[in-house]
This record gives sequence, structure tokens and C-alpha cells, in this order.
Amino acid sequence: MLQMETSKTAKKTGENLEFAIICQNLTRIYTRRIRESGLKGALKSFLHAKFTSKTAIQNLNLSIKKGSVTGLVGSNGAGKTTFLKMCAGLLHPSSGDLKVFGFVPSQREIFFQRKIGMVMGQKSQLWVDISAFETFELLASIYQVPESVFRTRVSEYSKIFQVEAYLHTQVRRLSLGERMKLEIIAALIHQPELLILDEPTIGLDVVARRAIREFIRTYNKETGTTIILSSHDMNDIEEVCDDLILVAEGKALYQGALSRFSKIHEHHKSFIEREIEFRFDLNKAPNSIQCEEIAKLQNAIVTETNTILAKFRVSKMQVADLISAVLKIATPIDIRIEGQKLESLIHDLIVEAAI
Amino acid sequence: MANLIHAIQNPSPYFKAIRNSFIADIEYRSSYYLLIFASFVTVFMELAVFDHIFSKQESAGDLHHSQALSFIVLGLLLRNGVTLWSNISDWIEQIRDGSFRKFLLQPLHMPSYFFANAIGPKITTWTLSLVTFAICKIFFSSQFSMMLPLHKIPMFLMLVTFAYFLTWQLYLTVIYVAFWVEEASALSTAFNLGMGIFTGTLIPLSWFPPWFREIISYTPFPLIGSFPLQFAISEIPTQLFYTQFLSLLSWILLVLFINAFLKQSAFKRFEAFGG
Repeated sequence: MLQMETSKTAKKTGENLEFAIICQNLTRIYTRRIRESGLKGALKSFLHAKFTSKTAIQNLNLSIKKGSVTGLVGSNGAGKTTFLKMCAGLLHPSSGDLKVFGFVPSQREIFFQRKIGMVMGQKSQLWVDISAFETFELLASIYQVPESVFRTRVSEYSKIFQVEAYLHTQVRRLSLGERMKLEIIAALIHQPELLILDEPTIGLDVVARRAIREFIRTYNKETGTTIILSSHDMNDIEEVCDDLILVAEGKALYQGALSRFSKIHEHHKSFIEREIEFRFDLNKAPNSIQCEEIAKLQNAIVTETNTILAKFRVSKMQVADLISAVLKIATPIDIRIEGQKLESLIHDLIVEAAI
Repeated sequence: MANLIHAIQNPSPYFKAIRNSFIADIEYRSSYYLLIFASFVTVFMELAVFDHIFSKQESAGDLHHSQALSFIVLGLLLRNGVTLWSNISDWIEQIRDGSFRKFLLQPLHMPSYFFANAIGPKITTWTLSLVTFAICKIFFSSQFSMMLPLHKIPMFLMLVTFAYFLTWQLYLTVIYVAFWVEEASALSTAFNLGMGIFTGTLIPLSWFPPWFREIISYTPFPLIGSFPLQFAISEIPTQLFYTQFLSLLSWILLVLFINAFLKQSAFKRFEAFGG
């Protein structure tokens, strides 16, 4: 019955068959109150408040494919969360068009809201004073999930995330990682068609991060849910996403397949350059003359701590020559070569865009 | 409107919200000890003041000595009902820090959901108020039963229900206003103070200067506290009763209308920055 109504609504709203999200010239401007610091500033602001505007999103044009996992990356204040909030219907655009499954999100229609699930790493939707299970029950009731389906889902997801033991513990007594896993379960109770994950791995340990990444990947494959993942951890993006949207200063610098992104920028210095580290044993360390010789090679930085560390940044064509040159001077106990890094590339592109 | 119809057709989440908010609220036992302590302190203070006043005269304003105890106890019940919407400030704080988004994400009729969330914590307040009422009934039965005869109880309860609903709607107005001013503690404190004094549940409104009563008569406050209290402890002329009852209903409709208008603009204002 509900599905029939949903499809009727979808037809009515002219939902695009290929894309889950389409936005054209989307702009969002915030008004901020500004005040000078200190008592004088506070008093001045109290009597005469001053405001300034900040453009968080500026003429953004993009589309997100149905069933894809899209990574949304950019520096702090780039407009990622603003975009996600607008997609979820939490914020109204200042101008431009935004359609999610054919709906205008800011109208917050019931059928639209049922299609959306959102997890924000820094905000909780669980009730902190009661157990997560009690919040899940409430959410199941809100989204009209049948009791048996609800219990199956909670049981399945809590097994995957290994949180069965915490389901009936008050949320405020749980660790950040435990809570975050439960937050994700809460967002999935109604099996949304669009899952928005805003920094879901923030502050989590390696094990928890890996569990969440694996889950997102598997969940997307099994359910075909469209997922948008915003994260500052490029490992999240590399391991989970098919597509990438790179945002800087409220504009999309890149939108498309992640693999294509790497290919386009294969000649970028971040991809061409390699970081090489030679570690020498302190007892068998190169003497000062040898150190100087190493330092002369390619602007190496020689650091003396417990061991001696020589760091180089060279193009990938020069790696072999450098290694043989260093080996001629002294024998290291360890050599580490760091290859292409998406993080470095994205960093460089954001910096270039800012300039 | 679609959300309201949906809420009427599917009330289950709202009952679950009452249940959850009640469970969450009884976590904080100390606040109830404090509530009992504050209630008794207020009652003793009022008793002391009223004793002093009525030691020299038989009546003050429109209140007789014999009505004083009923005024104090029923005033306490009403005051506890119309103030202490404990989670109001929490919500305003959530508007400020952005956590409010969880309410906007879900397919809910927002005012009904807020109401359900507020009812839960109120259950304990009302229980405590009823216990106070029962204690007074047992220990001061002769004076008390005279002032609230059995036949008045159903109408008194109805007036109280309307008064609570109006108060709740006014609190909702405060929440919507908070989308612009974002001053959580100031708004809720001002409102709780207003509810305590202007409703005439702490000090009878007839004790205030005429100019003050004149101003206050243009607000809904006397209808929330003073009107049900007067009905309970004295005989109101039928004409006056109907006038006040209609005013109470009119205020409810007016505030409902204002809130429906404010809600749309308020949610558009929601713009907590960053994550």
C-alpha cells in the first residue's frame, strides 16, 4: 500500500530515473552576527549588532546517481554539510533548484522524509537517557516499519556491528564508537533510499572505522541504497566510494568517478612525486660526513632522534637513482616509499583553488 | 495539515514518545526531590504571608481567610502544571547547536511530537501534585472539601486541561521565536516567571494594583491560572464564567493560528553552521 502511494508520488513529482539528486545553480548564503572580541566588543554588539553574510554554496551544479556511493570531500567550511543538510530538507536554499528523488527537500513532505536517513558524526539522533533499542522502537513506529521487520533489521545490523551487548544500555553510558554504530543502525531502521553520512568515522578507532566502511560497502551492494559519504579521512573515500565530489569555497571542483579523478590527475605532482624515507641504526649510523653527503642529495632532511632519518621527495622516475646513491654512502635498516596519495592530491587542488 | 492528518491516522509514535520521555525523565530523580522541596518551601512561605495578612483582617482582595489554604494548594497544582515544561530549554538549546535537525528529518507532525515529548516529564510532576493534593485533603479535609465541592471537580479539570493546552501552545510560540533570537535560558526563565506571577497562582491577582490588573486582563495569563482557581474556590457569576471560558477558547485558537504561521518561517530560519 505504502509502496503504491510512494510510486504514485514519484510519478507526480517527476522523479529522474537515473539520478537521485539533481541540483542546478544551488546557492546558500548564511547571515552571521559579528562582534569584536572582549568586553567592549560584547557591549557594542549588544547595543548595535552587526551582521555579515557568508556564501556556503555558490551556484552548485551536480547530480548523484541512484545506487552509487559518492564521496563528498573538501576543506572545513567548503559547504559539504550545508549541501547535505539541504539534500535532507534541513536547510532552505537561498536560490537555485534542488531535487531529491523528484522532491523539493525543503518542503519536507512525508514521502520524501521516509526516503532519507542521515547520520551526522557530531550530532546524535539517539535519546541519550534511554537505551538505543527504545529509540529504535520509536523510529520504527515513526517510519511505520512492521514489528517483525524491525526486529530482524536490528538483530542483523547489531550483529554486523557487534553492538548486541549495548542495545539495552543507556546511550549516554556508551563510548563514541559504540554510539556511532548505533547511530548508523538508527538511520537504517526504515531502510532509506538515500543515506547521508556526514563524517561517520570521526573520532573512531581503526577497528570501528574499518567495520563502518565494510558495512557501507556491503549495505550499498545488497540494498542498492544511494549513499553520500562526507569525510575528511581519505581512506573512507578510497575504500568505499565509486564517485567523488570535490568541493571548495562552495563550488564543485570535480564531480565524477573516483577512478577517473585519479586518471585525470595522474600527471599532478601529488601523483608523480614519491616520499622516500631511509632509517639508519644509531649504532651503525652514517658519520657526519656521510650525513652531509646524504643531505646534498635532493634536498634531503636528515633528522637525528633514536635513529637517523633521511626524508626525500622526488619524482617517481628518480626513485631508483636515489636509492642506489644513498646505498653507496651508507646502509639503512629500513626504506619506506610512499606512493600516490589521494589526500595529497585533494589537498593540493583545494589549495590551488583557494589561490 | 498533511502531517496533522497523518499524525491522527498514526498516533503510535506520539504515544511512544510520551513513554520514552517519561522513562528518560525519571532518570533524574534529584530533580523531583528538588521539586518537592521547592513546592513545600513555596507553600510554607505563602502560609506565613497569608497568616500574617489574615491575622489582621477577614478578607484581602476577593479572597477570604477560609479560602486561603485552597488557594495555596490549588495554586501550587496549577503552577506546577503551567510552568516546568522542563524540556523547553533543551529544545531551544538544540536550535542553537543544530541538534534540532533530528526533529526536522523525521516524518512527524512537529507540534504533536513536541507535545508528546512534554507530556512524559509532566506525568511525574502531575503525580507529585496529586500527592500534595491528597495530603492536604487528608490533613485539612474540613477546610478543603468546602472549597472544592465534588460537583465542581469535572469542570475544574476541564478548565485546567484547556489552561495547560494554552500554556503549552504559548511555550511552543517561545520555541518558534527562539529560531530568531536563540536565547534559550532567558526565554524559558522569563516565561516561567511570567507564568508564576501573572497567572495569579502565587499571589492572587486581586492583590495587585488596578493598573496592573488592567494590563494583565488583555493577556491570556489570568485565564490560565486565576480563572480556574476562582472557579474552584469561589462562586463566579454565570455570565462572567461564560465570558472567561469563551476568552480562554479564543486565546487557544488565536495562539494556534499564530503558531501555525510562525512554524513555517521558523523552520526556514534553522541554520546552525557546520557539522
